[in-house]
Amino acid sequence: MAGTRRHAGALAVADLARVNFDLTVWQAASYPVVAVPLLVSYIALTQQRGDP
Amino acid sequence: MSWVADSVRDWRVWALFAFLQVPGLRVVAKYLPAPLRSWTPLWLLATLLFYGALLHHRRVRGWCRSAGRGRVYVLAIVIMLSIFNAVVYPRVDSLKSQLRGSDEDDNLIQTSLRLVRGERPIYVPNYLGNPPTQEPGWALMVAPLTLSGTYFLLTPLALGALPLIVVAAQGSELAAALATLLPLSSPAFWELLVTGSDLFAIGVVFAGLTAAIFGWRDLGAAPRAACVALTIAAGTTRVVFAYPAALIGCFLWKRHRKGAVLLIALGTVIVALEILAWWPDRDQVTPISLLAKGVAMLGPIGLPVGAIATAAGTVFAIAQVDDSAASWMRGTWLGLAAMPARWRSRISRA
Repeated sequence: MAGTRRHAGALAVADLARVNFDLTVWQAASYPVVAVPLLVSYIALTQQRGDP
Repeated sequence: MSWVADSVRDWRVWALFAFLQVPGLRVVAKYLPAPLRSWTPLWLLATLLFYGALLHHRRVRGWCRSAGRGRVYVLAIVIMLSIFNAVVYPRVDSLKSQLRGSDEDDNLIQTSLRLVRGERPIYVPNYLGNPPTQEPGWALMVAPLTLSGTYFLLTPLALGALPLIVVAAQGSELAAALATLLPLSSPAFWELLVTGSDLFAIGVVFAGLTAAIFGWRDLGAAPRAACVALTIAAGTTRVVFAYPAALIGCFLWKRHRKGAVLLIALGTVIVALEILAWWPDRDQVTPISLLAKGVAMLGPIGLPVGAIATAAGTVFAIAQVDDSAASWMRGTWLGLAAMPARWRSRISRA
């Protein structure tokens, strides 16, 4: 009985981890692209004129 | 090979890698044929060396500087990208007939068209049953593209605007070339280009806003009014982006306090109006539904961690700002990067 409960608990944790991965990592993976123009602009503006 | 050693020690190379290539891994996993996936580590290594060479290899930097001098190269890239997207975007968009594809573009186009027609733009779920998360200011800004049926130009035009912003902020020819070249190296950029996402364009709006407000002291009344309009557009791209709009206002505090107060107040008013218009959002059908989704995604542990990261990022972003446009861009980047906003800002079921 205790083993069954542990098994069910482990499945629930695995399911929760999968849902959280899907939601937070997978679906929002493209979010950092919104910050790309700022990062690129910052790095571009640190380039000195005449510095090859 | 001293440039390789310099590159490995340069955090900017790693930051470029993290923001340009790591989001691209999702694209590789989803779309790349299985036999080609084994080449991914080689691609990642090549891009890392490429970023290092752009920042530390004398000859490569010389080539880029020459390319940056000729504006015709930037124009040619924008035209080619526009033609490419005119062909590919409609094909990707047609996936909605099978209830597939990204609905982010549909949200923006429909919100924009409904606003122009004088119709209520919210509470209208799209073909996937999701409510639009774009808001009025931003939707009106892109209206010329949506009304003319040229929405596919959004990201190409944004890419073309980025080197102009950098040059306007006193960037060199090399800076203009980097601003054009670097986004093109990201698989995620290409994915968002063909799916019609507005995320890259939003980033360019924030870069433009940062550069414009940096020069606030020297602006006349009309350009300042244009800055206010751009702040409203940027602050209403998504409900969470009122925060970086207000953050840029904070950067102005040392240079022009009245201007800073105006812009911070504007950010606050945008949030207040959103709450007044859409709260309570019991059925989660308005643009502020993004907040509920974000809270659910962060979970009980992620929420306080995200709040602390945002607060720390805000303090650091404001503290590091000095009298250079570069520090302002870095500050806005930190603000966007530190937000607990790993919100589901796009829903892709392709």
